[in-house]
Amino acid sequence: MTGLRKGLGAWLAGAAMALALAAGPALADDTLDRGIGSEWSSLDPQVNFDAAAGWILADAYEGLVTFDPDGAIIPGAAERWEASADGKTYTFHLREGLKWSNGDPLVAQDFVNGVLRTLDPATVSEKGYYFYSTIKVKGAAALANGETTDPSVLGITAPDDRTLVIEMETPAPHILDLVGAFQFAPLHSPSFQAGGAGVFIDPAKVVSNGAYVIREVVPQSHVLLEKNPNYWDAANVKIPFVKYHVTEDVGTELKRYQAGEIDITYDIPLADLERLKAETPDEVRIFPSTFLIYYSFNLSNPDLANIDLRRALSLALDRDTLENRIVKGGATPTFSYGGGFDPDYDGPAIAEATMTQADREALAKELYAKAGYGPDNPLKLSIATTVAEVNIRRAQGAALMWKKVLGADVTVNSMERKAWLDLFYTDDWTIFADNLVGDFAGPETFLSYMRPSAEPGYDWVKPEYDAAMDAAAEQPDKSTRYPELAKAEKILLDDYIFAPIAIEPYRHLVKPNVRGFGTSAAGYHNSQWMALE
Amino acid sequence: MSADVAPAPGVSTLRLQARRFRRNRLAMASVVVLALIVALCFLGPYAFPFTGEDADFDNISAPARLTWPHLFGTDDFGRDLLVRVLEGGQVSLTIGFLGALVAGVIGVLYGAVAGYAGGRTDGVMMRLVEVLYGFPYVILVILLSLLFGGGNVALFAAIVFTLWLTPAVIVRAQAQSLAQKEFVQAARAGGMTGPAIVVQHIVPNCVSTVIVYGSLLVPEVILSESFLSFLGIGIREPQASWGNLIQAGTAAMGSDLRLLLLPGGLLALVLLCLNFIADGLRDAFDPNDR
Repeated sequence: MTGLRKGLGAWLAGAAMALALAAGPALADDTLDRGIGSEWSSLDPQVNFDAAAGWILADAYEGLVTFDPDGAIIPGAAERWEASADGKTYTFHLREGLKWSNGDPLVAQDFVNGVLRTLDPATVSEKGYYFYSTIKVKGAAALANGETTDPSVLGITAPDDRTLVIEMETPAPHILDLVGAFQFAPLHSPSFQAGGAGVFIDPAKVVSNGAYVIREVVPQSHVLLEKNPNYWDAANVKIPFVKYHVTEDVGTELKRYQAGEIDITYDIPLADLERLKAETPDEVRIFPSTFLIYYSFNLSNPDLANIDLRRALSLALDRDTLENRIVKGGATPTFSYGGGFDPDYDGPAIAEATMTQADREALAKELYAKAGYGPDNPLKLSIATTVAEVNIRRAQGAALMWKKVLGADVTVNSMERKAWLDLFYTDDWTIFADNLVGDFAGPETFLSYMRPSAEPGYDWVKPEYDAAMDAAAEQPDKSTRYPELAKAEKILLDDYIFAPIAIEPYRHLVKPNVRGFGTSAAGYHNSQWMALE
Repeated sequence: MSADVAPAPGVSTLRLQARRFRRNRLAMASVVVLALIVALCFLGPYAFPFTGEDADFDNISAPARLTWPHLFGTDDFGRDLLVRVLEGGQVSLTIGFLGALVAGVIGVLYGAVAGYAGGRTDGVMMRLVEVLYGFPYVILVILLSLLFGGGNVALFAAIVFTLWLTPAVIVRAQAQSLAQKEFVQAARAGGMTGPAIVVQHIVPNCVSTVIVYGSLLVPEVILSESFLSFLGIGIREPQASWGNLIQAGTAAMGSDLRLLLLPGGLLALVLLCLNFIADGLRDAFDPNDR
């Protein structure tokens, strides 16, 4: 079934390419051509939840802050901000003379309206949780679950046109990561009220405040953006046009890149990665993302309820061999869960991380025998994974390692992404090839997901962990909060409810004449920083 | 090998046909090669200290250097390529011969009954065959593998289910003409029951057609298995079959042709041998070709 679908996808992509070619050359030097993989799921800034479509929206809209090419937070629509002493209230001051792309003045209330629309149940946005869970804005939960429709309960207010105040129930030093374009785009109320959600994909009606405006939307083909003359920093935007191209198949995208149709690709096919690295090392950009891969163990399975066995399975994996010699996708092996994203966080790793792999394997064998398994009584498990090539390779490699080191009999059960997602909640799995994409490059986005109260799918009961996370949530800034989070992570890792495996990287091919494409872990790459030479 | 051309009196037709087959050098050479491959696939893996599902992580993607123990190197998980190809051969050949046998038996009996019975029974049975013929093959296989929950059994069932149709049609045509022959009518007049006539007279008289067709069916089944495993709905990793080995080989075609050449070459060789043998059998059984 897979083979057929893939074949069809490639054929469709080929057909789309032929159409694009027939449409004539749009490859003048004033256009930056970027690949976004599959078609954007939405161009609605309050609804879109897809990272690749987020690039288009980050060009078209600007939040209170923005991110430089390497992912550092810098002032966006707000020129400065300050936090209260208890860390619960943040006040942002907007720049003077901000305008929408149609010339209307941009005021602080437009940002409040954007959040109100995100939280409104009628919008059906998945992004509401940023405001009632990731950071706990006053009144956000009540608005999101429909308890009230009164906008005055929201803790985000605009006392005047250039001031925005955010009041939270608990301190959250990571708030600045969550007020960029992806989560905090403003809403131009007049055009939205006139045209509804349809305005966001209608180039004639859409009004935005970013460095670019949407000029053309062609489903299954591309989105064309043009420089916004009303943007406050328009003088420093170097590329007049940016075109985002849809290419379903990564192999086809590589051909388009090599033909000069695309300047920055969405991904690199793994089969070609080694060759491209050798031939064009300057064009291959691989850097860590916030995409964590870990194998979860089903705690309600009688075999896996035994912590010795879970520990043995985690230790038997030679992560370095797995990632660098079998999967070969450029992922960074890891022994921790929340660490490796924010350099300021000095979190724990599993206790055996400092041992050599040989010692880990010896200990794994010992624990496996202690748990009552051996050559006559091998452990039988199955890894549930998606059909993506990289995931299947990783699962097959892990199964072979478990067979070689422990003698366990592990099969790989690959399925369509949706079936895989549904399976997690049925409890009908033993090992789940799990992953989590963090909302920002810090430990908390990962650690709060693992709270037993937040994710029922893991069947993990641990009041100590919840208590440790609650203690961390009281701390107003990173320097005091991170040690508390590290304590919580230690509790999490000591239970071996999953085996952390690797941090998946971003993989892009970037033409040598493109300047200003950095290595942002959060994955923001605004075109306004780039230039074509 | 006998040198006389004129058949000696008292030699049975079957022996005559066997003698004609033995004189076909290409077919005889194919039999020898095929026997060697079968022996190698089933006995060869015992010579190695590991199986095709054991990985050697110190030698991932080792090239073919013809040195012990990895004669043809390893695949990109560190598994020995030669052992995997031989083990894959076991699966493909077993499914091929067993599948052809089962599909052949079902098809022959079905066709013989339909052809002998004639009339309305024949009509209903053959319309059913035509309906099944009309069903898209791959969709049928996918449905069956859903029904059987995937794996080897589902694959086997799916192959047999689709491949018994052609022998049924061929045998039915033969049985229809046989049913009008004097000896069958004599048997009927003598009080022999229908099932007994089908088994004792109709089927034995179809046997030469069946052997020829059966020998063509074996490569068809092997090819089906490989094709379905190639598409990912057949034999699942880590178990090897020629189909999924070839699939893995085509994925790495650009960088390492060896992974494709060994299983692909063996599959091609087996298919060629089987076709030459089928060709030889057809020549031997053809009454017009003395």
